Amino acid sequence: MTLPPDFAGGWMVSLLDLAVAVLLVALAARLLHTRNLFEAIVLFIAYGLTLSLAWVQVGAPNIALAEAALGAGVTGALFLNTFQRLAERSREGSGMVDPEHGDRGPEAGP
Amino acid sequence: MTPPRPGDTPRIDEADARPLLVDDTSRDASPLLRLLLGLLAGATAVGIGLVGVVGGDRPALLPLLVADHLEESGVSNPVTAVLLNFRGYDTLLEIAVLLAAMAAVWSLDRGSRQFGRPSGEPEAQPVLEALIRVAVPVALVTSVYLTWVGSTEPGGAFQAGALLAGGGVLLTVSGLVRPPTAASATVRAFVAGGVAGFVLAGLVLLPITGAFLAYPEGWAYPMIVAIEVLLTLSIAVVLVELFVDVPAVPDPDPSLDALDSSGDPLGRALAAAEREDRP
Repeated sequence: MTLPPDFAGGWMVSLLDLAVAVLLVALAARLLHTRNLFEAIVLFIAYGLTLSLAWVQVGAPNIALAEAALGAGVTGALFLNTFQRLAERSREGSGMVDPEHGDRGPEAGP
Repeated sequence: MTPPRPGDTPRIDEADARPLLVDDTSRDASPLLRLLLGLLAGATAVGIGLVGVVGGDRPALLPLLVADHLEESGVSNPVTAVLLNFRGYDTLLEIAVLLAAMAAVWSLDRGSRQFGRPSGEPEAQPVLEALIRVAVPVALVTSVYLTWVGSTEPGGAFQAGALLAGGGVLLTVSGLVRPPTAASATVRAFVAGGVAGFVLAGLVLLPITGAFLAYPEGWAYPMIVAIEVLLTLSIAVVLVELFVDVPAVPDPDPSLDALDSSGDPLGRALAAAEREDRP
C-alpha cells in the first residue's frame, strides 16, 4: 500500500484516519438526507472542515488550506448568506410585511 | 445586505412552516432508482479504495519530474512551481473563470440589488465587533504571510485570497464598513487586475523568451511573487463582491402569487407556463 512520503505512522494515526473517513461518510449521508436546509448548511461546513483534515492526512497541505478557506469558509458563508435572504423573502411571502416600508423590504425606505 | 437582527434567523422548529427553507422532496426519484445509484456510488468508492490498497507500489512519475526541474522553477515548493510556473497557464484560466463568474453575477438584475448601509441606526453587535477586532488583523497578517511563504511552504494566492476575503466579509457584512460595490472603479480594477496582470505578464514575456508566460533565466521568482500578490488581491475582492454585490432573489412575475403560494418562484413560473399551454 502506498503511503504519503511524510507518513509518521503509528496506530493512533491510523485510528484518526479511520475516524475521519467514517465522519466524512456519516456527515455526507446526514446532510443529504435532512430536510432542514439550515441543518444541511451547518453540516456542509463541518464536512468541509473534516475533508480538510483528510487532505492533510493524505499529504496535501496546500489543498487542505484551500478546502478549509474556500470549501468550508467561503462556500459555507455564501450558503448562510443565501439562507438569510431566503428567510427574509419567505417572511415577506408569509404576510409578515414591515408596515413602515411596505413590501419593498426594509432597505427601501418609507 | 442588512446585518442580521436578533430575531431574524428562524428557529429549527419553525423551518417547516416556511416552504423556501425546507428541502422539497416531493419531486425526488423513485426509491429503487435512488438505491441503485447509491449502490453504484458505493461500489465505485470501494473499488477506488481497493485499487489503492491492493494495487501495489508503483513509482509516481510526476513528483520525480517536478523534483528534477525544481531548481529552474525559481521556487522550492513543488506545488507552487507547478501552479505558477510549469502550468501557469492553467492558473491564468482559473482566474479568468473567477472573473467570468463575477461578470455573470454583476450582469444579473441590477434593479433588485440590496446593498449599501441600511436606513436608520444599525444595532450594536458587541460580540461581532469583538470578534472583528481580533479576527480581521489576524486574517490580514496571515494572508500576507501565506502569499509570501507560498514559494517555500504550503500556501499560495488562492488560500491567502480566501482568507483576506473572510476578513473583508466580516467587515462589510457586519455593517462596520460600507460595502464596496461594482459602482466603484477601484473594485472593478481589482476584480479585473488579476487576469489583466497575468495576461500582460505573459504578453510582455512573449518577445523576450519567445513563448507566452515563459519566465526568463533568473526572473522566475520575482515574477511568481508579483503575480501571486496580484492574484491574492483579485481573488479577495471577487469573493467579497460575491457576498455583497449580488441581486436579490428575483421573482419572475409578482402576479403569479395568486396562482400558487408555495413559495417557489421557479415552480410558479413553470406552473403558469403549463396553464397557458393547455387550451
